[in-house]
Amino acid sequence: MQGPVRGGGAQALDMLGVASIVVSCGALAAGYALAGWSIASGLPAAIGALWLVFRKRNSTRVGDIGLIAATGAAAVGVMLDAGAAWMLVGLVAALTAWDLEAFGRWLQDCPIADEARALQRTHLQRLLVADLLGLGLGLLALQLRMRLRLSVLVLLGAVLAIGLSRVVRYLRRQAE
Amino acid sequence: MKRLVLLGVLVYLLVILGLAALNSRLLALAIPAALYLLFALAYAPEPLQLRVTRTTSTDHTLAGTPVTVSLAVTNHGSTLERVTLEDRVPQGMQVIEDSPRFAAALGPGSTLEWTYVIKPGRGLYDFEGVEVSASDNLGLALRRASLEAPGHLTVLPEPFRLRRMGIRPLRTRGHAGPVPARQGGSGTDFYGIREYQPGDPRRWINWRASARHPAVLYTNEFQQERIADVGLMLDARSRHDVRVDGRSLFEHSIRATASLADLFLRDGNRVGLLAFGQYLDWTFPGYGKVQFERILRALARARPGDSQVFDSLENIPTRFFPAQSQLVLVSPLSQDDLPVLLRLRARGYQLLVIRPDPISYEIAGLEPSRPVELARRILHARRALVRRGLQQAGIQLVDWQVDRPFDQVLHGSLGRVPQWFRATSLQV
Repeated sequence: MQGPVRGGGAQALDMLGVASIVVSCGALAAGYALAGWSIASGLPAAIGALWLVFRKRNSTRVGDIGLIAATGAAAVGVMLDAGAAWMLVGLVAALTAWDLEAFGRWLQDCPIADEARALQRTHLQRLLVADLLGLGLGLLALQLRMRLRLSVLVLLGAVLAIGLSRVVRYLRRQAE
Repeated sequence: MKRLVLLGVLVYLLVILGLAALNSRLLALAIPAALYLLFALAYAPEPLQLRVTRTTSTDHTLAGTPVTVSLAVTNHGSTLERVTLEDRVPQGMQVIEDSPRFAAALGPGSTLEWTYVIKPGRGLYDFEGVEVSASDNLGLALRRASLEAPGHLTVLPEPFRLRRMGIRPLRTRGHAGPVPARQGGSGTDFYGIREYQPGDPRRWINWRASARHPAVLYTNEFQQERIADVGLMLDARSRHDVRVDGRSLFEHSIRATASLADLFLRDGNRVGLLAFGQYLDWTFPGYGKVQFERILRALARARPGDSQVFDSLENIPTRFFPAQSQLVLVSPLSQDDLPVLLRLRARGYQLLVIRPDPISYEIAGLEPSRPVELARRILHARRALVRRGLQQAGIQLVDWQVDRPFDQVLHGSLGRVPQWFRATSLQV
């Protein structure tokens, strides 16, 4: 048995993570810039730069903070009428970078190179499916125009409340 | 768990913000993250049905010897896409090769095996178990469990190899051994002469003495050599333990005690051990290798501690040791211990004190400065005072700076028996 995996697979994962951060912050910045918020476009760029700098620390917090910042930037961008599609791409890429960081950290504990490669392949496949589906459905949702009536809003609110209670119950069960 | 919560919160915030601002594009932003969450929950692991078995390369070893720990985990449940197993390594063990953590995927019925190497310090160790966390492939929906994987490891102190050393207790036991018995009889060292008695070998007749007294024949007597009772006393009081950079002076005392036990038992003596600190740990006297193993096990479990009862040597029950036997105390000693030792000596115990030097041990870890030097001199003066008190009472003393080889120090101090000691030994 060897130590943590540091082979070609891990390097590829690293590069993919960096690329995701670049794409995420690039898309967010482009969205801002194209909407005429040139100065504000520095914000996602700064988030990306900081994320890239601090990700070497191998801390879970860096990815978490990066994702929160990118989501916040995307939400603000949407509210400022920056290109919603760019924001969506930025968010999906941020989600990917966040996931790859956590996965890379977990994979360090897998000492068998073949096993690590197989795990990596499976993970990337599922991530790709989730990303593509999310992006596709998101873009589709951006195209849809529907007028929400009060009843629909109430229904959505109820779904949210039920969902939230489910999540809380699930988390409580996990804690036990 | 944290990641799941984080993502859930982000999704909820986006949705609530979208509803509050009546902005459908914000709702669209929540879709990828919500989908990611759905994927995680859809593939969440089922209740864990894992079984772990543990084997170690040995169940007892000497301190500092590497030990390989092997673990095998079998999955009796459904597929676990991502599973992290972490063996809870007991405190005092240092992992020197591989890792007690292992990450993999585990199919139904499959078994996962991994090993890691530890370098344990002296002690008795109980492995508790293995922490398992399983999740979906995206690592969001976690399920944790703690699996029993009992294991026990006894790490004995490693004794120094000592050259033979002479002891002279007042009373010895009946069996032949290496200790001069202060009784005439058959032996090798000349003891005295007495009147010839029928049955004495002719070559024992002292012709020179007999020639001076033609009416009587005299026979040489030789000093009998017997085995002795040796009581080892280990001072485990916390106040005498000095810790520098995670290393403890007590560990040196332990090794010295183990070495002395080995030495005395190799000579065939009957050896017992009394460790006192937080409580009394008494190993009944015995002979041979089995007794050595018993003593090493007692030393393995010895920990420095405090107790009001045993804070002073006054309350140490010496009735454990036969009268007039040899006592060996391994302790850095303080001034208030001196009267008790003098009393033991007065009761006829032959005392040998091994005194690991806590001052030089602690000062080695300090920056040299004038206050440190001053403190060193004061403490050394106090130690010298104790030394003088012990020597005046005829107690053998070995001052040991623990960075020097114990064997060398022991023989340097006891190799040549000083005049005062010879005098006190022959008085009885």
